[in-house]
Amino acid sequence: MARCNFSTKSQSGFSFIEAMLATLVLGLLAAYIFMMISESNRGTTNAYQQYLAEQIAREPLEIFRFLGCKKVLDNQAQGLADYKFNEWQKVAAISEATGIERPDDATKFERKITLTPLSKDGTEGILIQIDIRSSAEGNPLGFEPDQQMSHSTILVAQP
Amino acid sequence: MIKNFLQLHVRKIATNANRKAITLLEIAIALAITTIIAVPLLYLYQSGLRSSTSGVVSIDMLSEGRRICSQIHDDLKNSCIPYRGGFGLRFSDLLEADFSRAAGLAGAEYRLYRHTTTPELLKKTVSGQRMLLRPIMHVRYRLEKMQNSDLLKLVRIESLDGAPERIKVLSERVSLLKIQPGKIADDQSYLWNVKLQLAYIPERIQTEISFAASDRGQGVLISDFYDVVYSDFFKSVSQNPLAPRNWHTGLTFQRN
Repeated sequence: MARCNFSTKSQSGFSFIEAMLATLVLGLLAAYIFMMISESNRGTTNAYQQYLAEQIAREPLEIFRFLGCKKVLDNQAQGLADYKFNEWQKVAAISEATGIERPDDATKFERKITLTPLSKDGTEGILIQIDIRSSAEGNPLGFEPDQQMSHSTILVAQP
Repeated sequence: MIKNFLQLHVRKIATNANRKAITLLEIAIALAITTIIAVPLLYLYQSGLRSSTSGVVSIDMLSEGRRICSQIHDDLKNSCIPYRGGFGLRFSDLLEADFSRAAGLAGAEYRLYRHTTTPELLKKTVSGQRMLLRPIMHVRYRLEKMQNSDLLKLVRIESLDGAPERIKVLSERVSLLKIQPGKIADDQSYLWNVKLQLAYIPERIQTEISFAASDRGQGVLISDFYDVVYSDFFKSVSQNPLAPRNWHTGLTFQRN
């Protein structure tokens, strides 16, 4: 009778396996919550980097629209202000030639401006494509090394 | 027989009662285990909550910053000078930056005239000539100091002839707004560089730090925005000095 009582008492506690399972479940839950938090943070940062990349692409387009097609075509070989053509160029926080100030995070990007002259029925134009990618040194979140953003526009020469 | 049965029964009740009770040691162990589990969970919950709040605020700031930049872009893009019977145009006439009553940035004002978005033309008499002019409105961006905060309120005030002023608060967390002219290639190639910074100081550290001394590392959220924009009006006038300006300025209509 006494042996029987002892046996019942030992069965009422948790076994080692039960405790380990409970720990595993808790661990998985905690890891999942951590992952969710980290994913949420990454999403937020991505949205900002996406915005910044768009602005970096729009900046030369706005300037070239002001200058006009002819001026861009005339400076195709040597570049305009500190915008070089057909090569990857790091984005600086302050442009030496124009004085344009950009956020510090902009230096994490590289920009390539590709020009393609167009001509049809005597009308001249130029296709401008801007590619943005993250620089190798400071890879901003949300922009993988092989990922790019592109903007393009066509400028037509004034008649 | 009966005596034996009673003795056995009483002993059984006593044994059961002993087994159902919780000892102090058991309570202490249970409490310790609960604490060991609850403390990291609470920490996780708190950091999750903080992270979630900062995520929501960051997205909100991004959306607010984009909206403000878009509004400023539109105003500067359509900026012009009111026609007063012939004019010589300088880029600096398009936007007036007034820091005369400002303490730091608080009290600073940017003022400009801009074309309205509606395509209507107004009949006006200028120097005895009847003309059709495109309506323009006056726009002011004012930075105001706020109570109990190092951040500034950005207000846009729009006034059109004969209409009451429209005042709109664009943001209450501006830490920097700078609109400065930039020159591109030659003497006549001017545009504006807009810099905007929005910030959020969490309540728990609001009393501890002043914004000037703070940075991102102290829990302050900062979002920087920038834009480059030229005036359509200035471009047309500066690049085509001999071209008729009526497509934009409305110096057009004279009928006797």
